[in-house]
Amino acid sequence: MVFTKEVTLPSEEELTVQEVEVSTPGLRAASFHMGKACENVNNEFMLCRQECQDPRRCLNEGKAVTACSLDFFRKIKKNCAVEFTQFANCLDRSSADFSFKPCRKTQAVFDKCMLDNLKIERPYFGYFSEVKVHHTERPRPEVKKQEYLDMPRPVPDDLPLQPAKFGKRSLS
Amino acid sequence: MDATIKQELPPPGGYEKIKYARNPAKSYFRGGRLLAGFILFNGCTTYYYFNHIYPGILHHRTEKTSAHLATLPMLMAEHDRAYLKHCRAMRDEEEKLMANVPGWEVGKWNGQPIYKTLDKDTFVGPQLSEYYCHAPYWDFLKKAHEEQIQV
Repeated sequence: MVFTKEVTLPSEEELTVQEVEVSTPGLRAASFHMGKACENVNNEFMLCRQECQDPRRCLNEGKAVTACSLDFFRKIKKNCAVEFTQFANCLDRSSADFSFKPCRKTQAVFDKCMLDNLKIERPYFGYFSEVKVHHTERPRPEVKKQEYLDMPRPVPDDLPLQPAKFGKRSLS
Repeated sequence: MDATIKQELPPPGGYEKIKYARNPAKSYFRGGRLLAGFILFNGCTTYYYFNHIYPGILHHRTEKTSAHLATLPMLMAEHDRAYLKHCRAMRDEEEKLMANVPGWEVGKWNGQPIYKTLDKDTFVGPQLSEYYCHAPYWDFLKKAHEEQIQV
């Protein structure tokens, strides 16, 4: 095992939260609205994950993401359960890769329900493929520079230059 | 014995000539016309593909990627927690398993850690084979195949 006793690994209790237990068609069906509803939390988590490159340091952000998603699905269950199930079923059964194309009608019904009840509009096409700038309160993590023992010492600026002994190097 | 002997001879007028001349199929197009037709056909199909089929493919691809990216943080958070939980469980398991071996330190071999230049609290994830060392071998193979890792 790579981990020695000095490596702090969070305990089981710290890592156990209520997970989102939704199948792939359900996640796909709700993905755009969920991404829009939890956008800030999601971006915060992804930024943290990208900056730290360490799953231990972003646990709280991750928990916030899961809580937001869970809350969102609960809202759907309360308000748009029928439309959501219909859309997810359509995605599941119409194609092999959960394509949205064969399900535009059920998607429109679901979108309308979401807009009427939860006031969440479907983001425009390609919204989640765009580059986003996220402003955060979290301090930037310090990146420690790796020091190599066998790095050559830098040449001083005032080193006297001597003429080349064996001719130009450019020809060799 | 006065049997008439009839010798086998060529038919009157001789045998047919042997056909050895080439008999090629009728050629409808040759040279420049064939090339021109090829270029025209290819050009038309390419034009049609890039103006009527490929945009649809791109559209589909972008939509799929967007849906994936929208759900990615949630899946990643869940994955991170499960991963850390498993790492912790494996370290505890090793401690229990190697309790009877004298001089055994968890995560070390003869008192030497794997990464000696890194800080002690640095998180470096285990290899796949190590991650699956207490799991059935078949599960490891499946995962390796999924991740396209050479075993």
